[in-house]
Amino acid sequence: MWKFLLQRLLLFVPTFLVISVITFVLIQAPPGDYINSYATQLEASGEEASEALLAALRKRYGLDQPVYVQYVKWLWGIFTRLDFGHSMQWNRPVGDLIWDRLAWTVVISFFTIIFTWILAFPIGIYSATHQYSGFDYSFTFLGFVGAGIPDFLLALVLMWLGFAFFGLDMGGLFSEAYRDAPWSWAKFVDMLKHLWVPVVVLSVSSTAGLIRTMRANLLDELRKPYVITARAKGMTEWHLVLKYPVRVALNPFISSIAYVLPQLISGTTIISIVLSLPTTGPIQIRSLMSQDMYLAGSIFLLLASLTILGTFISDILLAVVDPRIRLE
Amino acid sequence: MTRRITRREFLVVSGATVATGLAAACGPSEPDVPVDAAPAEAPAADEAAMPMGKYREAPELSEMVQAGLLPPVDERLPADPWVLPVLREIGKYGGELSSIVADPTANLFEISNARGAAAAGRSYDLGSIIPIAVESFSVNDDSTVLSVSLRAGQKWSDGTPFTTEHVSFWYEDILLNEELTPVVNKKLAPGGETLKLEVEDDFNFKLVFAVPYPVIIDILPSLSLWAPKQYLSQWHPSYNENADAKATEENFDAWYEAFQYHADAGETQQDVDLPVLGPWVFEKQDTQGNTTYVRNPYYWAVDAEGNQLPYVDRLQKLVVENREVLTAKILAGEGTHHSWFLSLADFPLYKQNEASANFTARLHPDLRASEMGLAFNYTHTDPVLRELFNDVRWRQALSHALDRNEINELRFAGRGVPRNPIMHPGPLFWQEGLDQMYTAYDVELANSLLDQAGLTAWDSDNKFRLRPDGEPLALTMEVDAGRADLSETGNLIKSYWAAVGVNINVKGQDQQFYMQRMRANEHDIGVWAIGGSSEPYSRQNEPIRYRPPWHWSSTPLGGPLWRQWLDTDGAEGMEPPDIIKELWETTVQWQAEPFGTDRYKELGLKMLQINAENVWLIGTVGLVPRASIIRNTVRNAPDSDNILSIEYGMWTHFQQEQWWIES
Repeated sequence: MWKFLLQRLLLFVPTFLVISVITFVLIQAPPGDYINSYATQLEASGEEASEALLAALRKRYGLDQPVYVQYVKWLWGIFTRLDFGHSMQWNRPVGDLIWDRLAWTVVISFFTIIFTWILAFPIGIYSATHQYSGFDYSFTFLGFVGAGIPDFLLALVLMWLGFAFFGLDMGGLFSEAYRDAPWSWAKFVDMLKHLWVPVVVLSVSSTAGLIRTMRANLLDELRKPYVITARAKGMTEWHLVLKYPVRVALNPFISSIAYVLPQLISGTTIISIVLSLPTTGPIQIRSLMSQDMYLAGSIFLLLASLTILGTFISDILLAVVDPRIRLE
Repeated sequence: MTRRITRREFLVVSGATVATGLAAACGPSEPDVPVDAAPAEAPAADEAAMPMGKYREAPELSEMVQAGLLPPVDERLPADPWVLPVLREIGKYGGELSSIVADPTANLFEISNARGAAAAGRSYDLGSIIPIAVESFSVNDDSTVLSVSLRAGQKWSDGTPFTTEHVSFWYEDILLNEELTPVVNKKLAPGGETLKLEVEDDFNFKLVFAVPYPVIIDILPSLSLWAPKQYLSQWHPSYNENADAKATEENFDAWYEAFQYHADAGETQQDVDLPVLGPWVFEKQDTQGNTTYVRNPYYWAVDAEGNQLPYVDRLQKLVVENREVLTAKILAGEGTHHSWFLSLADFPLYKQNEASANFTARLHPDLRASEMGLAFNYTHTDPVLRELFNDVRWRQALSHALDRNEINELRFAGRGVPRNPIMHPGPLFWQEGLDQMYTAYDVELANSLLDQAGLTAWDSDNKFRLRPDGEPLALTMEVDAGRADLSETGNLIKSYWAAVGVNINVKGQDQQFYMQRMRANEHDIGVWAIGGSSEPYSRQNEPIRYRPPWHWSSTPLGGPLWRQWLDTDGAEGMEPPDIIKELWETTVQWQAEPFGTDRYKELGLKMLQINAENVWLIGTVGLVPRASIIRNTVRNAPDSDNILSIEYGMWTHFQQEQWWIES
């Protein structure tokens, strides 16, 4: 087991490096750089952006150096002093900008996963044990509808409903009164009032998928001889189902941590922009558009690390939950 | 000719608006006292006897004075403070001005204009340029020297007296420092030579130019000729030999990075301790970009009754991530005033919600010459196309082929003016009809002009014209893919031009890539939203809409090689035709002429005429009004007849320090 963990941990490092290289190169691939978009801004406000000025700025920010030099400098800063570089667009260290937002991304993703499980787990079991019943059909129908609706559209509709019928101010995670307030119970309740919209929106599509997987896996298990044997021995039905087939069918839930994390994080980008949430999504898009590369690169790097971490956790959990998995 | 505009003179000369404003402001109690002289008359010795002092201040500041945290208001204000004429009535202290921005690092003009303190600004009626952060300024006869007097006793927000020491610091240690200012802004280097500073005493200095530079007055509203030396010098190696070590300690690579971080007073300001001269001071910004500003206790302006300005306690900038949320928040009544992020298409929606959200939605005149304009690449690498584009009949024909009325109806609810982008009516040298030349929608005329230009052959389907050399005529119109409005109008243009047999393909393109192609002279048609065409803009910056390449050189819409030739005196680029040389000469002379002279008007008109006759820049619909929303409790704010335009700095001249909130 320890060897397995160590192997996994060691794999973490090269994966991280490869991701960081790809990220850095991809961000720099489009034509122009941050200085170009800065020049556009300057001109929009009526200042001439002369070639000499742009060249001087490039030198200032080190953008005139080859990509690999910029990359090594950036990575060196991260490893030696946890310095993710300077966001040119925001005029402040990248670190100041992203930790808060990363925390919110994790919080929203966490609530979403929990919510998805709470919904998908019992519904999946019910659908499998009551296959082709009226409820099974209803859940299946709703599941497919949920999977089919584009999430940003659902977010817009929910936001409009909230505004039109309940007078709720849906953008953001807090109402005006609590935005600046220190943390308190009331602020937490206010946050929950806003948080449910993104959580519901983000859960809808992944819930549908998980219900289907749970149902299919459980159906397979329920037909297996050991279930019939247990039933013949007089085990109560619920005890039986929960103790054996469900445990086996649980595997997809656990491995889903690995893929749900990146899915959620890319999903939150659009939802966060639509709902104006303080996650990494909006800042990520904006930094990409203005080619604020250290900010963009750092966000990608951290999100990628989170994904690797998610995979790592799900691997361990799978190994723990399912003894059939070999640790070689 | 000496132009000397002091505050007093401005009060005298600027006529009825201000006079009535002041009369109302003075009230019945002291009708005979000239307002701006009032503070100076009361003897200073009375201060001990009258604990209230000459001036009044906000209650929160009184409390701080009583607690010993601040000196009394009379000591904080200069002996002769700036008396700002209020628009309608003397206000009450308190409240907050706030607005919402849909992009955290974008400039929120709604409040950012209120924070600055430039040397000068435009009067409320936009008719004159008045001193703001300085006592007075004047230009000598040949416009080579600008003399400026500072107000004695005026202080920074930290209480430090504001003197020429701060001007010297800005000049010697920032402007002339090659690391902080790698390239001196052209505005500060007339004739290619950086202006010189001559300090006379603590309150008087001169800026000396190498060549006559009358435009200096026009650009004063955008200049701050000083910096808070008392604070920033600690990051500057001329004053602190450990500046580099200090920068490293703060996690910067070099001293100038640390310096710029602390000196940043813009939208991305981080340092809360940076002293400023403006009415409000930066308080805090969270990681989402929500920002607040609080009253500057040392602000050096009062109203006619001696109340220290600003009336409003705080400014707040709220950040959301997209325009839908922004609209929802505005309709729910959040924020006190909005304009920059409003959309004309949503105007009926704003109107519907006026009562429930307690605001008034208005339309103001704006000065944008054309919401979309286009120029052909007059220095195209293909000689056949180049010759065609340079034929004035080609340009006239394609201008006549546009159904601008339909564009106006479809895209702007008929609120704009179909026109070519030739300024807006109203500058000193305007001539009626210039913007309407060759704009009549006339397909027949367009066809015959194209025939005259040699495009008589058509393709086998009889659908599109062939080039004079028999090749198919197919042009690509690239537009910024991020601007849906431009591609929509672009597609309308495609259909109008197809009707006269000219085939274009509209292609969305990444903005930076597109700009790169334009700089490399690789485009067929240059497309942009045509702002920056107004008289003040053309004076302050450069007449970007009236000479090649009809935009900034970094985004050359048409003829980048002509501009290169003109900039390098013929060493590089492509030699332009005589008419372009004449146009260039006219714009250069116009820039060198003092504002308002007969020759200024003559040259300005000539500049417009040459452009109108040659239609190098073809426009669609311009002068589309700008929407504003102002909460009904906000007083002394502008009306719908006031121009609200980025060309005049949006809200700047509405002096938000004299706005107040009715409770």
